Order: sequence, then structure tokens, then C-alpha cells
Amino acid sequence: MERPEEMIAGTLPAQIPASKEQELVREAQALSQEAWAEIYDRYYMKIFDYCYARTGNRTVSEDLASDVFVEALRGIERYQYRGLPISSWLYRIAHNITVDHFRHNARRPTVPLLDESENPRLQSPDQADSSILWQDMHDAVDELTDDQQQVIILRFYQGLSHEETAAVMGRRSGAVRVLQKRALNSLKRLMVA
Amino acid sequence: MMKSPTFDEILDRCLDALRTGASIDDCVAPYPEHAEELRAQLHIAQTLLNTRPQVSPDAAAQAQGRARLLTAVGAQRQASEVEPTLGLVAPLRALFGGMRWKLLPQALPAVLALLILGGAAWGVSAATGNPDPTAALRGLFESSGSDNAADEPRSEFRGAECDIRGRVSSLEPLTVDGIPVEPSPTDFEQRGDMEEGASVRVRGTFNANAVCVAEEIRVEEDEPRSEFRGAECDIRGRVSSLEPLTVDGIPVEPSPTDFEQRGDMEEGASVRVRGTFNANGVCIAEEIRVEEDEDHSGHGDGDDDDEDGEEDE
Repeated sequence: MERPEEMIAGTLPAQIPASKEQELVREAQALSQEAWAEIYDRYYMKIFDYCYARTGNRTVSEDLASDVFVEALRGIERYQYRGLPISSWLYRIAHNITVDHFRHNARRPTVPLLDESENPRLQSPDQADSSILWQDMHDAVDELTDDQQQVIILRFYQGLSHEETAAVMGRRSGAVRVLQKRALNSLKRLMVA
Repeated sequence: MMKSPTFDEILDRCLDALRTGASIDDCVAPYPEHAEELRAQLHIAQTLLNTRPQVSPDAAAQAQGRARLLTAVGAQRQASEVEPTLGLVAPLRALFGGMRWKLLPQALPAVLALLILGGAAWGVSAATGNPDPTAALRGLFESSGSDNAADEPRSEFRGAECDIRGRVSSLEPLTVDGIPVEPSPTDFEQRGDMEEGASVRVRGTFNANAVCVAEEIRVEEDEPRSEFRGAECDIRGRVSSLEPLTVDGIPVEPSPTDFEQRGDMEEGASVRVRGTFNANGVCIAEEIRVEEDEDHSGHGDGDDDDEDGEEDE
């Protein structure tokens, strides 16, 4: 399936003004189907990408991404708009749902990308070296703490700023910087090993 | 005099530059004093950016997820419109849900009203030729100008098998994980007593309105402990196990919509859990805070996260 340019991982969807976002939240709380359709269409790809980065499994990620929006619907009544994009809240739900998924499946997050034949990078014969590097990197990411993984995925795969990442994680941006620095150091150590 | 940027600030600038396509050399050039350390970190960052997963979801799965969401929105809206209008659901739940017979006098008017409305529905159904009495009755209450997208048929569902494992979101109308469910009028079996929050498995077929017409609903929980439901949980104890998560033997699950964890958990860690019990006695946690033990500093690899967010180097 072709993906719209603005939805490719690592680039944020076009920002919408805060007033529009607030209006969207209000309409979503009033259970407007148009509002929910807009939220889904705007953020599904990002949430799918996030789930995929956590699970490494396309089918599971499709299911989890769908669950995120249904959970958001359940919680929208209690959601309070505080000037942050609704995507921050959706990422937070996605995080909780993926953690829950791993807990119920009694295993830690893994990123088994070697068997992902649908991945165009892995299909390219002239990129064999990079696919090995890729697998090494994802094995290394898998060794990080949950918070460090979260920072790496949000900052480098989802393209969020420190402030946005901090909002998703419920931390201060200083804490995110510390986590990022430690994660990069750990990755450097793991990649060398 | 301008304060010179710290290493972390320089690193941030370089990371932002990398994300916009700059090379590592470009980033490092203005900071020769930090070149070596910058290069090492930026190389990892660059590798991360270059190895970003780029997999697309299946279009059908995406469309199904959208339909599922919009169906759930429609069902939730319908529920919120019907409950205050008829005012029947709460008294009926009070009467039948917990078998609290002393509430019978309070609920009796509602039951009588339901019987009258039920009779009216069948009458309207017969008069209009609408085979669905519920829909016929709903038509009586809806204004002629209302344009409810929830009622638009979604024919792509029709005939598709539904096999839903989930929790009962509401009983009136019956929804499971937000998906509307109706018992098949011709072939239906229910195993176990349902209540909101109960874990069930529903098998049947979707109709054109994305309603799962159920041939079987099986309640999967053994002994739901409904006396817990809604009660606040505030547990101070030790993590008995991580998978599944239990604290002092009490099962705990993070709230999917509103959850914050402070500190890294491990078995035996001292924690405080705050949240609400669900019907099954599981504490749906909104916050789990790991409380430091005196000797905790000896654990781990020294890589614990600094919650206060202060730079440590």
C-alpha cells in the first residue's frame, strides 16, 4: 500500500493548530464519527509504526494499533486537553497496550525483523550488509530498558522532539535527554560487543 | 559574554541536523573539541535513523480497524442517547444484575415501562414491516431530521464471521469491546451469566450494520468478583511476580488509557499501586511507584533512569 509522504515514519504528520486540535477533542468527546474518523486517519500510521517498532510483527501491530483507538474512545470522556497534541495521548495508550500485550504473551519485547519479508530494505539484494546491521541494531535496542527503548523509538523512529517525547512518557524533557544519552551510550557499547 | 553550549546541547543540535539530512562531518565541524565523542554518538544515531522500520499495514486491516472504531463510536453514542432517554438501564441492572431484590419496588415502574415499550416495539415492528423491533422502536424516538451516520449500513461486514474475545462494554445495548452484539433470533446459546466487564467469547456472523449476530456467547471468567468493581485500590507492597503482575498476590494491570510508572520494577521491589478494581478483582493501576529500599542502590548496572531529569554528567 502506498503511504502518503507526510505519514512516513520519522516525519510528523502536518501539525494542526491547537484550536483545531481542541475542537477535534471536543467533537470526539461528543462522539462525533467524523472527528474519530479524522483522528484515526491522521494518526493510524504513526501508531502502527510505533507498535511495529515495539513488536516487530506486522499483524500484531495492526491489531494493537486498532486497539489503541478503541481504548482512546473508552477514555475520551476523561481526557483533558492541555495544549498537547492528541497524538501524545495516543502514543501513551499505545505504549501501555504494547506493554500489556507483552505481559499477556509472557515475553519481553523483541524486534524480529529478519523474517519480515515485506520490508523493502531487507528485500534489496544490494543491501545485505545493511540488513545485518539493521538486525544488530534492533537486537541492541531490544537490550535497552523499557524507557530507553521508548525514547529511541519516539525520538529516532517517530521523529518526536524531546518535549513531545517527554509529554508522551509523562517525564520532563531533561529526563528524556538523560535517557537518550544513556540509550545511545548503551547502543554504542552493545554494537561494539 | 555568551555561555558556550554544553555537550548535550551540541548533541541535540547535531541530532536535529542529522534528522534533516545533514552529514556527521557537517555536524561535528564547528565543535572540534567534542569531535570524537560526538562522532561516536552521532554514528549510532545515524544508524538508528537509517534502520527505521518502514513497513506498511495491510490496507484491509487498516480499513477494518477504522470500521471497528466507528462502529464502537456509534454504539457508544447510541448507548449514551438511549440511557438518559428511557432511564431503564440502571434500575434493571440494580434489579437483575446483583439480584438485590430489596430494590424491587424502585425498579418496578421501569420494568412496567419496559414491558409497555416492548409491546409497542413489536406493534410498530408489525405495522412497519421492520423485522427488528429494537430498530423499529428506535425509529419512534429519533427525530426525522437526525442524520445519524452510525445507522448507515456497512455492507462490507455482511456475512463475515465474528469471533470476538473481549469484555462486555455494556449490556444495554450489548457491546463487547465496543462491538455491538445481538443474539441470533434463530440459533443462540449463552453459557454463563454476563455482566459489564465480564470476559466473554462471542461467535456468530456480522450483519450489514456491523452488528455481530451471535450464535454463542460464552462467559470465560470463572468467578467474577463483582464486589470489587469500582473500588479504589491503593496497595503498598512487594511485587510478587512480574508476569502476570501481582503485588502482594493481588493481580495488577496498567490502565490502558491513563497509566504512569515511576521507577523500574523487579520482583520483590517495594511499590505503591493506585487505581481502581475491576469486576474480576484486578487492580487497574493508574500509577505504580517504585519505592526505594535502603539497599536498593546495590542492584542493577548503575543505569537507572534519573526521574528528576537532571543531567548526571
